[in-house]
Amino acid sequence: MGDYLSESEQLLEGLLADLEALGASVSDDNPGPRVHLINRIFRAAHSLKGLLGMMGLDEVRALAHKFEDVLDALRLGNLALDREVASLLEEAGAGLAALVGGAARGSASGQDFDQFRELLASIASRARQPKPVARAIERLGLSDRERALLSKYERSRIRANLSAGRSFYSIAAGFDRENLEEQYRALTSKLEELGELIAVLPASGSAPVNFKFILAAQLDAAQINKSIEPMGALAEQIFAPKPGKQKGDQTGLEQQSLRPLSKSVQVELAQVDEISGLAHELYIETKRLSALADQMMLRAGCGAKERFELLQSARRIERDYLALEERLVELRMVSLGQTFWRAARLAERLARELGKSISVEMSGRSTQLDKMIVDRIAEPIYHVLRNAVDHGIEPPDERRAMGKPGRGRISLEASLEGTRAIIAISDDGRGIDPDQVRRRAIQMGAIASNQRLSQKDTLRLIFLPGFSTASEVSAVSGRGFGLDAVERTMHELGGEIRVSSQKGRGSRFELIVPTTLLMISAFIVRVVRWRYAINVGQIEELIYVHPGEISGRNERLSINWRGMRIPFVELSQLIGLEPMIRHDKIPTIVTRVAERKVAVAVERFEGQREIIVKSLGKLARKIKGVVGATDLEGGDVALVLDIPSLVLLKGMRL
Amino acid sequence: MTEKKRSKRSRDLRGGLIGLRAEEASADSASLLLFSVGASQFAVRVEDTEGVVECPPISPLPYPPQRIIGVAGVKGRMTLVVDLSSGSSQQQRRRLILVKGDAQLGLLADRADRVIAAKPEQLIALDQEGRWPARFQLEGYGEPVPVIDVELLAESI
Repeated sequence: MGDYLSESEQLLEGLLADLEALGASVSDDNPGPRVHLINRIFRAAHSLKGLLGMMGLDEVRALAHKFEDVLDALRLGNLALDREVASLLEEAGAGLAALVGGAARGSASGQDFDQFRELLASIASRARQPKPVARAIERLGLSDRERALLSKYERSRIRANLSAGRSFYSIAAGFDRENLEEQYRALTSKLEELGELIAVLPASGSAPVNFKFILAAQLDAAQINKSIEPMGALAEQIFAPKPGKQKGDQTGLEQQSLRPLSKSVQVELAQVDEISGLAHELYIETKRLSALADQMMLRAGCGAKERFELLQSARRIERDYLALEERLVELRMVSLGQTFWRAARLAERLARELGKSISVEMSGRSTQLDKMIVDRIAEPIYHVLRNAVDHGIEPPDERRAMGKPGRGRISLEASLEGTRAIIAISDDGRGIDPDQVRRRAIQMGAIASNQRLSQKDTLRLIFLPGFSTASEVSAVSGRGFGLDAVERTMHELGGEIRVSSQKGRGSRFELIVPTTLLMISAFIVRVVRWRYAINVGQIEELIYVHPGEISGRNERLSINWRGMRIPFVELSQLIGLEPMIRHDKIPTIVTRVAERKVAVAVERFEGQREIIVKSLGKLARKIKGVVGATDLEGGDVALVLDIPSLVLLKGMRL
Repeated sequence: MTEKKRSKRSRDLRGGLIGLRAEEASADSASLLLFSVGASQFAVRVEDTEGVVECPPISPLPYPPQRIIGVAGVKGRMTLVVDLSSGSSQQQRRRLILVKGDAQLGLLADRADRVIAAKPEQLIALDQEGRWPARFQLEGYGEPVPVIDVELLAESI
């Protein structure tokens, strides 16, 4: 199932991208369909249908078949492609992707299926009856038998090429049985370069196997024969358009191969991890070998030159290893495109259900992140977007009364900042009311009624577990994913979530995540007997604290940092070890937790380095405060800590 | 990882079983590795293991799930170390039995005793409420020996 699902996801990604390209190709100047795109989309839908059958997702398969029918109508010219149809097709593609994912997880509802059926019916209703093509084919001078062999698609392509004013050629070719496949492929490849290969018909001839190829092209017979005669084929013109009737590429026909363009292979994430692990083992052993060799050379009295050469060789291996790891990291990267597409379609559907009108603008879809991060961040994006549609965007009448356009605007943006990605979801809706938030927090007992908070800190209260008004629950009921879970997911990924809002103007949520979890810059620290790694993205500053600078008692310690009091805690306390030994200068990491700063003391700083974060396996989700582990020299393992999670798990007051 | 590659790796790591006395297995018997944890003895199907190694240093986890005491790096893989004992000191534990599967588990042991060929009639089904993650216990080797079910173990964590 995993293999089929992975392949389905790839097909869907390509299909969605092609649907978008198809939509973009529709313009007033070029109203016709893009043949190669439509064929590719049709083939993807057909392959997907097959995979769905393999996965036993019969209901989705049946709908994929209907989608295929719609695409067939498009490629046969029975469904005109205009902007509206293109938009509906994109929506259908995203809807199919959502259904496949939902059905695979067992979470697709009857309503989801019904909505998709309605969408397909709406598109199919726009198809017209096919025009008769008999007259057109008669112009080619094919025999009755040959005409009977033509498929519906081939007939439609003949009509389209005739309308485009192209010449038609009949190419006779014979092949011997031993090299049939190779020779056949060579000729058809060449013909596809020269024009559009419409049909391949059986023929008689002197060779053991004979075919008649029907080609539509803008070239003349001499040009075509120059290319194919060396292959033993001969072209004869069977139809020439009247002079002045050639319309060039008016219908958008492109003389491109119809063969799949993909040059990629499928690689399992686990395989990439395994290769990465083996590469790292090789690297560690090489370092040991080079250290041993150096010692032996010393004992053997080898000169500085030999030892230098050994050192150089070890350095080259280290560089090559790092380059290999970078390539392996790149293998895991996928774009946010499909996630954004699904999110946008989900938002549009929700808006329709709520009687609201929205436009979703997307940018940065090609931003690439580690696949694991993209998979984990999807649900938080959907949740924030649902909130924006449900609670942020006002109904059209309310918006107009406020002087806003009736259609709300939601934007999904992704951008990179160094090794972090920022995914921003913003809306121009009613914004978050800080007074309402404050009242709710007081009601929950989260803050005292006389406690003063800045606007920023007030907004952060919405991430408290259980913080929701009755209307929020109605929107997200059954989803099981509150804003506190969104924040937790961000922390688990080594990131954070920020919110800004203006009452009446809108809100903006920023989900900030590392681009990869596999290879990161980390700072190694020692606490008691153990070493730990901390993502440098989580470190604001490294400082040394004098014991006299620590004030407070028990678990309410604090220090002064850049003019403000921030909480102070020992890492040993956060991770449940015995107390650390304190020296005159306490190495301390200043880190960010929920937009607050916290000082975390360790016993020793051991420097920054690039590390490979290794997974803790499928039970990793049950392990709190740790995102993975890394091998250190000497066979030691350093846990890669998620400091913000550990601080929150400890229940520290910030 | 494909099944072919996984079984190749298993054969390589099963070098860790060298030195253990092994009974000849027949077609209908199950190869079980017997190991000791403190005063208790346990068994695990050999086909569920990837080898027995000297236990490397274990890094303790801050909020460990039940039965997990920490993480050890073995042959490039991060292994969650499972302690089946009832809380007695882990200092003497010198062996780690690597378990197959995505859960990346390793069973902490004092020693790996031997590999036996258990006949079907020696494996008695346990009720679901048993103390250990085991569906069967082995009889005929002194006290009944729980046969650790690695899937049940992963689910119980």
